[in-house]
Amino acid sequence: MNRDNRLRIMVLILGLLAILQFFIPHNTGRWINRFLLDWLVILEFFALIAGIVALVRGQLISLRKTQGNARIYPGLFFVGLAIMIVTGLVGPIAEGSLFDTCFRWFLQPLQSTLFSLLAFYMAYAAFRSFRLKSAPATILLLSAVIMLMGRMPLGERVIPNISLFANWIVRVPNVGSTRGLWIGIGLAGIATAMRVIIGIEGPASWRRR
Amino acid sequence: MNGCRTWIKVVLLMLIGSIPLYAQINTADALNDSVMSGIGMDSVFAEVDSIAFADTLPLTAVDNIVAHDSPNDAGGVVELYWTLSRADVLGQGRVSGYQVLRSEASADEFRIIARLGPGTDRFVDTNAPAAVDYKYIIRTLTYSGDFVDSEVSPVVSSSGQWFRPQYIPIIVAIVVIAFLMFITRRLPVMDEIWIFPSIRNLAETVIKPHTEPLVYVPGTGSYSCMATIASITLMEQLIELMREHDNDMEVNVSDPMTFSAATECLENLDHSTAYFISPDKAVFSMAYTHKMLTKPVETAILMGTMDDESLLLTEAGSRAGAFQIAGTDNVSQIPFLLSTCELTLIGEVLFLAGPQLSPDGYRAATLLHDRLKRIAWILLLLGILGAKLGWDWYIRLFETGVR
Amino acid sequence: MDYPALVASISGIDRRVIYLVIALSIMVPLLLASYARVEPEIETVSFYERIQDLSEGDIILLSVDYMPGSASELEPMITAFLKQVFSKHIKIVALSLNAQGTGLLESSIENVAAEYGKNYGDDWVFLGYRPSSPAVIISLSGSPHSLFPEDPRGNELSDLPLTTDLNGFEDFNAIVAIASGASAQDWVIYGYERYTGPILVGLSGGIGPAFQSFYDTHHVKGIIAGLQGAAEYEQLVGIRGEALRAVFAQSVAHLVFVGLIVVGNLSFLAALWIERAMG
Repeated sequence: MNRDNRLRIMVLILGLLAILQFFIPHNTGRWINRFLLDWLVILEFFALIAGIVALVRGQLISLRKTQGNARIYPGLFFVGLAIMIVTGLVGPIAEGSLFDTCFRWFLQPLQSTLFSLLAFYMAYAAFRSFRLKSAPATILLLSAVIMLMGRMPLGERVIPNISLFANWIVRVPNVGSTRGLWIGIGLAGIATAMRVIIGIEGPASWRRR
Repeated sequence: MNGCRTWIKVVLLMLIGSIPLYAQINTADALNDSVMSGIGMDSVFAEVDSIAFADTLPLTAVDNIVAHDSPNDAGGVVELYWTLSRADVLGQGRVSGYQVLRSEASADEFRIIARLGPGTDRFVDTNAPAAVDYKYIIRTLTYSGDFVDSEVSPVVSSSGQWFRPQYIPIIVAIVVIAFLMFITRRLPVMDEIWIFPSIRNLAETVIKPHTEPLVYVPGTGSYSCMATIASITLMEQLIELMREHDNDMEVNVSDPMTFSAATECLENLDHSTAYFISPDKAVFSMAYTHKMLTKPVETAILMGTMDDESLLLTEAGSRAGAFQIAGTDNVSQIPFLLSTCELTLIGEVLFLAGPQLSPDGYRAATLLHDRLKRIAWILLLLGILGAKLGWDWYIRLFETGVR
Repeated sequence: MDYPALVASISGIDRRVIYLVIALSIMVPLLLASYARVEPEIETVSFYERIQDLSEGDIILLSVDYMPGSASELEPMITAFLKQVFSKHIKIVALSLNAQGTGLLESSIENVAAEYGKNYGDDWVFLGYRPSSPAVIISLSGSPHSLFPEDPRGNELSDLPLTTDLNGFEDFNAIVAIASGASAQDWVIYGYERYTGPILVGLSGGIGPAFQSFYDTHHVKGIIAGLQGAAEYEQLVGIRGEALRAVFAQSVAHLVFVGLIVVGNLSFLAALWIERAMG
């Protein structure tokens, strides 16, 4: 039996185990669940190592190739990586430690700031794309305006009873369309998963051989 | 005229879409009530006439104790039911509550394991190790300190079950899907199957000559998300198309396992690289934005699971002037993609894109998907009818849990 | 006046001008305005009332999945929830489904618990973080002890009074999932099948509307959605928190959004009209 078929059989067995444990309330089912989860964590860990190695290699190449001020970015990458690894491995990580301070005072504010950019991007996207170009675009525009006005305290004062329309949009067309999308996504996801388990879809290397 | 037709279609769709909502609300309410009373989560309060001689009622024990293993679990749980003490039913507050006492069947050492309020006629013992025989006594208590014990319950032991019967509908569904998958692959060649226009446009974009590498992002979800697997499948097909037309690809990945899969796919395409950036979505978004704004980009394809960062990613591409094609299974991000991308694959189209672009798979995938959706339609329509006509048996077929 | 040039300059306005307008529309109200008054939606009221229906000594499983980026929406919800729960002497078993939010969650609970004199181990326990929310939910339906043998502080769960007798979902009187990611949906998909009690969710604003269908079918019994929902919830709980302060600024920003959309469309229509007028 060649390597591809052995891999397909392994995928099939593990896929069937993952499905079976869902139906077995007995402790054996739970054991299978924990077994698969533990191995998933192990695989993810080693994949993360491979990813970090690739990232470090890429940044080293970038450090060699770039000139002048552009070298700051790969340099900062290595400084940040070194600080977090050393403080995390050597020192304590509880509240008040250097590791925790770096997380709370650098990473968290940076993340919050980065996601706050969404507000600005949304405003510009709304200004640029919500135009009366066609019937569907007009419906999108009207829905957006009704939702923006209807779901905040000032909206009622500007346009009385706007919240009724906003609630109707959320509870009727939104619910109907969301359900339809989810049913389609669910069915497509099941079909994709079964194709993977049965071995119809697999890594690119299976097709090359 | 076309605009008018579009408006009419939209209004009709909204009205039709409202019907299942109202049907389901009524059904869910009715079912909820029937299930709640069926499993007896509410306390039992019997109607009583005014009793003037409450204090002179003899204190009687509970009777008809039923003890059995809790079904469909891993063991360790025993359920007890009994008929309330007559003094509790008629005595208007004389009974202060009950105590549950337990002993191993081989001994007579009863210990109190729970204290229950008046009117309680059931108890779930969640600390009954499997395969150990137990017996129970229910002690009726009064406010004045009197008590009376019931007869000893039948001996019972808990055990784990090997199968949940409620999941039979799921097994039926899996068997049907597997069967459909089997027969659709063996159908004879038919007339040309319809391919989604957006998928066709995606293929046409990819085969156009590019001077810069095509940027691909397989979403920001983990490899255990189906959308990520669908995205990798699509990427493989796009690589096959690009190979024939000498285009290159640069893949930016946020998940380490997806990075491994992407690296393997790109072995088939010269001058193409996969970059692992970070599992942190904010960091990934900013690194991607920096790349898009500092390098020339013609086309960017973002396919897979994306959360709030989808707008950060697509706005970066928009600022770079790239032609953007995106697809996601995350319903809440679709409006952002629609407003920033030239082409959007919504929901299931993302899953179909890879198979539809593959030379041997598109017929089978499209036909399978078609059939599954037709079955879903029929089941939904029957559900709407069933909700209105009171077909509780039909609705219960789809109740697969403890409810 | 050169109308075509004017219209073109409005249509092609520099994005930085728009960013500045948005920034001012948020910062100025935040600095100047006080607390807003909001009209709670039925979903938020349902969430509040479900918690009010619980009794002293009941136990809630709190599952939180958020990152620093969504903290501004979700932290006011969590704080208000903890205040409502601790004031009713309800106990909490909390866990995190996102590695980055773990520290944030534990310190939020610690701060509110200290305010109400609640003790760790008796009144609240933090289980820690585990990856893969579907697997966590399925495992927890059995027993938390196998998945969380000890808490992040090194205590064995079997030694803590609150968790020693926990054997699965049936020991919890409610499950509350507060999330900015997919785990809220996972609680509906996997948790609803295994739990007979109420599941309540707190969500970031972007994913709130998608959960409306789950509320309609009673899969979830209450929803707090976004900053607006958090403000409504704070008002119901009776506290003046960050959300009530921030929601006025959000309202002004929404008005500015609408204004930008109107201006954009007026310039678009004007450009069309000029094009037609010029033949």
